[in-house]
Amino acid sequence: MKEETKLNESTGYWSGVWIEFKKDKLSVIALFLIFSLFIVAVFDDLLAGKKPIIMKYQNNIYLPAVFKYKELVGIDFSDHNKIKDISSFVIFPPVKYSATENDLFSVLSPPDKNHYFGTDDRGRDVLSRMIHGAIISLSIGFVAVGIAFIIGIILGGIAGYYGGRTDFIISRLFEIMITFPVFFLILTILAFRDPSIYNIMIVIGATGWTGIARLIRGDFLKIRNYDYITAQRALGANDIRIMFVHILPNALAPVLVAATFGVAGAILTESALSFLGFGVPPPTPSWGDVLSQSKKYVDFAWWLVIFPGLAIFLTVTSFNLVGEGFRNALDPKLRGR
Amino acid sequence: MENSIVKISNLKKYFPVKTGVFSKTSNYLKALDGINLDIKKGETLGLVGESGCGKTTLGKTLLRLYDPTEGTIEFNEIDITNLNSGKLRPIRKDIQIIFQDPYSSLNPRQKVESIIGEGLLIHGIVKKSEIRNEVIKLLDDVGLNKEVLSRYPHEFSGGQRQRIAIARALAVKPKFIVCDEPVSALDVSVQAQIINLFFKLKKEYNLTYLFISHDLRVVRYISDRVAVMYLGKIVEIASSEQLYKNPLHPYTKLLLSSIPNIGKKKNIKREIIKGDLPSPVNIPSGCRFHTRCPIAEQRCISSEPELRNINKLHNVACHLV
Amino acid sequence: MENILEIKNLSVSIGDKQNGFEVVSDVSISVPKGKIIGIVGESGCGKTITALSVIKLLPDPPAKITSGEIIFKNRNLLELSDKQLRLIRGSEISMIFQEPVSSLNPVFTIGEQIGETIRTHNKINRKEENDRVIELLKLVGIPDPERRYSNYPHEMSGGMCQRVMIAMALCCSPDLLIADEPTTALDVTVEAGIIELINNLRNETSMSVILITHDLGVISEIADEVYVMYAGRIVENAKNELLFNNPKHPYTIGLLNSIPDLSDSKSKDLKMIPGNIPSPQNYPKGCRFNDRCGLVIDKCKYNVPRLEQVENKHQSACFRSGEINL
Repeated sequence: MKEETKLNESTGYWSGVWIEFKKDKLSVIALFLIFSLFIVAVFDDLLAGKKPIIMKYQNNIYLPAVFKYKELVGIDFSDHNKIKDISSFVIFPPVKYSATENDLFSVLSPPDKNHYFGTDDRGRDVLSRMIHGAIISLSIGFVAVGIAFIIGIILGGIAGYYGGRTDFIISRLFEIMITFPVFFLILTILAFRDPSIYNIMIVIGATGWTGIARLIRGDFLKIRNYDYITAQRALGANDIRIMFVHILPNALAPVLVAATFGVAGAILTESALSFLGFGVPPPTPSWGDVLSQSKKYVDFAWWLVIFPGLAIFLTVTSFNLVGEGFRNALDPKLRGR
Repeated sequence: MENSIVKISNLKKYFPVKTGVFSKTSNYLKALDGINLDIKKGETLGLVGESGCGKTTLGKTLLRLYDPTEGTIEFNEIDITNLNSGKLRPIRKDIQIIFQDPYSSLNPRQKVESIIGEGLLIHGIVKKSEIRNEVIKLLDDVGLNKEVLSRYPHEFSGGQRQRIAIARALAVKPKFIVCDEPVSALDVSVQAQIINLFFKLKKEYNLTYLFISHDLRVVRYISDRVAVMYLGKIVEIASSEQLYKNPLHPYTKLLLSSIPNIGKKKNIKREIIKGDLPSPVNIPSGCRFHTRCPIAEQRCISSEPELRNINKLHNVACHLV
Repeated sequence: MENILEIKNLSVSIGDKQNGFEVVSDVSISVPKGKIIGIVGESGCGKTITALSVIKLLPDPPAKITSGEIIFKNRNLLELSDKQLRLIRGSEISMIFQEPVSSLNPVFTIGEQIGETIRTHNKINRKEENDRVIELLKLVGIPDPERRYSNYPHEMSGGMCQRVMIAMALCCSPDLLIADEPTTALDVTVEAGIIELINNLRNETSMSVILITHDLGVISEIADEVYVMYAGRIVENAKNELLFNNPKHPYTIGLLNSIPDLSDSKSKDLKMIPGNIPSPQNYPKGCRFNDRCGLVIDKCKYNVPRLEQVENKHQSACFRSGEINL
C-alpha cells in the first residue's frame, strides 16, 4: 500500500531564512552597502590608480590595471598625457591617483575637483587611499573571524560533545581567555612581533574565538542528546562524523550571526590599532591609518577625519545590521522547529 | 536457550546524582537494577511499565548507547558488554532502534535520501552509486513514494516521519530492532497503519522486536511475550495472552484494570492505584512495589522477591503468588 | 434539561483574506447542566480551537472567529468585552490543559498559585485563603495537603500537578470546566485516577464538563455525550453507549477499528484508515473524509453532508449513514 504524499513546495532551511531576512528593509539596505563595498574592494585597481583600465597600444588591447604585460614593462604610467599619446584608445580609472604616490605640492589640501576627498600630509589622495584601504579592512575582518571561527568550532565542539572532564578543562580555557583584556593583549603581542597585516589578522582571530566557542559548546551540549544524534550512534557513525556532519549544521545559525558581528568588531579593532600606530605598516593604506594622521591636523583637515570615520562607521554599522537582520530571520524559524 | 538472540544477565545501570558545589556523587539513580532477560529469535517481546520504570533505559543500554554499570549483554552469543567502539561498529548493523518522537528523530537539515542512506554510507553496504536505488527500495518497503527523496523532514506528518525512521533502521539490514514507543506520539488512525507496517516488515526481513510501550492495548496486540517493569526490575513476564487473561503480580493487575474499556458496560469497578511512583533514587526496601501494593505483608517490606517460574513461560516476582 | 452552554454554528479561520483557511466549520455543540460532553478527534481536527474559542483564548491574529454564537447563561460570549470575559474566566468557566507541570509557574509553590487564583476572584483574608486551598487540595485527592501546600511544581509528579490544576480550576466553583487533553501526558494508572476525580466532582457539584481528547477510552469511560470531529467539522454526535455500540459514520467506525482490542490475537490485520489527515489548506471539497472513506460515492465529492438524526439522541453527517449497520 503506497501512501499519497501530498507535499508542498520544498523550502530548504536557508531559502526560508532568506525570505524572512528580506522582510527587514534596513538589513537589506545594509547588505547592499556591504556588497557595494566588496565590489569597491575587489575592483580597487579599476577605480583608483595610475594604470589605465583598458588601452589599445600598437593594435593590441591591454588591461594594465589588472594584468602585468611583458610588452608594457618600461612604460611610465604616471604621466597620463604620455600614455594618451602612445595609445590609440585608453580609459583611465575615475580616480587618477594611486594610494601611495606623494605629491609634495598638494600637501593637506581640502577636497577639490582634482582630489575629491582631499590629500594627506604627504600629498596622497585620500579617496584613493580609502578605496585601496577597503580590501585591507575587509580581509582583516574576514580572515580574523575565519580563524576565530575554526578555533571556536573545534574547541567548543569538543567541549560540548564530550562533556565531563574534557569540557571542564576547555571551559576553564575559555574563562581564562575571556578574562584577558583582549585589546591590550593584541597590543602586547604586536609589540613583540613584526607588525604585518598577517600577524594582525592572526592575532585578532586567535584572541576572539571565545564567543563562538561558547555558542557552539552550548548547542552541542543540547543537540547531542537529541534522538536523531542517538540514531547516528546506533547506526555506527564515529564521533567526528556525528560532530561535523550532523551536529554542526544544526548549531551553525547563531554562530553565523556572531560571525557577522565579529567582522564588524575586527574592522573596528584594526582601525583602532592603526590609529594607535600599531596597525598595518606603511605604505599600505588602511582606513585607520588615514584616521590616525588626522590626529595631528584635526584643527583644519576635517577631510582626514570625516571620510575614513564615515567609512568605518558605515561599514561596521552595516555588518551589525546584517547580523541583526540575520538573527531575527532565524528566530521565528527556530521556534517553528 | 540457544535460539536466544539477546541474553541479558543481572544488568544494572546506575546514573550518579551529583550535588554540592563540587558536584560530588551523593546518590545513584537506579534506572536498571538487575535485569535478567532472554529474547528469542523471531519473537516480539513487549515491555511495559509506567514512566520512570527504566524501559527506555533498557532499550538504550541494549544498544550500548549507555554503558552498563554491571551485568552482561550477549547478542547472538557474542558478549557485547564491554566491546570498544571499533569492535562494536560492525555489530551495530544488527541492532537498530526506532524512537518515540518522530519530530526529533530525524535531522532537520538532512534530506530524506541522505537520512536513509546514512547507514549504507557508514558501513559501505553498497557502492556509492547504488545508494539511491537501495533507498528507493526501502522507501517502497515502508510505503513511501520516491518523490520524497529530496524533501526535508519538516515537510512530513508524524506518521510519514516514522516511516522514514523505520527505513533508516532497515537500511543496514538489522536482525533485532528496539522499538521505543514508536506509535505513542501518533494519531490513532496512523498508529494502526504503522502497527501493520511493523508486522509486514517483521515477516519480510525476519526481525526480532523489543517493543517498548506504555500503551497496553498496542502491546497486547503486537507482542508474543510481554514483560512488566517496575522501578528498574522485571516483575512479571509471560506470553501475551497469559499476561492479559491471567495476570499474577499485583502491579500487573492494577495496570490492566486501569485500561479504560471502550463501549462495554462499565459496571466493573476499576481499582485505582494509590500513591506516587517512588523515585528511582530512593528505591523502597524489600519488594519495591510494597509502598503501593494492596496486599503487601511484612515479608514484602523486608525481603526482595526474585523472578520465579510459575508455569510454562510465566514468571513472577512476588512473595504472595 | 437546561443547557449551560450552547455553541451555535461556530466557524474559525486562520490567516488573512489572501492566505486564510478555515479550521473550524459550522460547529454546534450543546452542553447540558451537570453532564460531561466529550469532543474526540485526531490532531488538526479543530477540537482545541473550538474549546479555546469559548473563552476567547485564541491568538487573534492569526485566528479569527468568523461566524457563530456562544451562548452561556443567556449571554453571547463573543459579544462581551475583554474585561467582562476576564470576570467569567476562572470563576464561571475554567479550563485545564495538557501539560500540567509546564502549566504551573515553577518559581511559586502550589499553595501560592492556587491562593492567587482564589484571591483574583474573591475578597478574602489570608487565613481564609489558606483554609480554602487545603480544602481544595483535599477535594482533588492530594494526600497530606498541609505539607504539599509548600511544594514546588517540580517536586510533584505529573498526576499530582494535574490535580493541582484541577484544584485551581475549581476554586470558584465554576459552572463549566473545559478540560483539554487532561490525561494525555500521564501514565495509564494516573489517568484512571484523574478520570475518576473528574467524574466524582461532576457528581458532587453538578458542574458541566467539556472533555477534549483523542483518547476514545477516556471518552468511553465518563462522557455522557460524544461529538466526533474530523477536519474542522462534527461528523457524528451521540449518547455514549450509542456511539460506541452502534457508530453511524465511517470515520468513527474506522477510528474504533484502529484500536486493538484487549482480546484480539494478531492473526488479523488491524483495520486501518488509509491515507493521511488533510491539512486545512488542502481540505477536500464536499465531505472532507471522502478521500479516505470506504463508502465514498460521487455525491460525497461535491456536497457537504449535514448532521442528520439517525435515531434518538444520535446524529451523523454522512449520506450513507442509513446503510451502516454493524
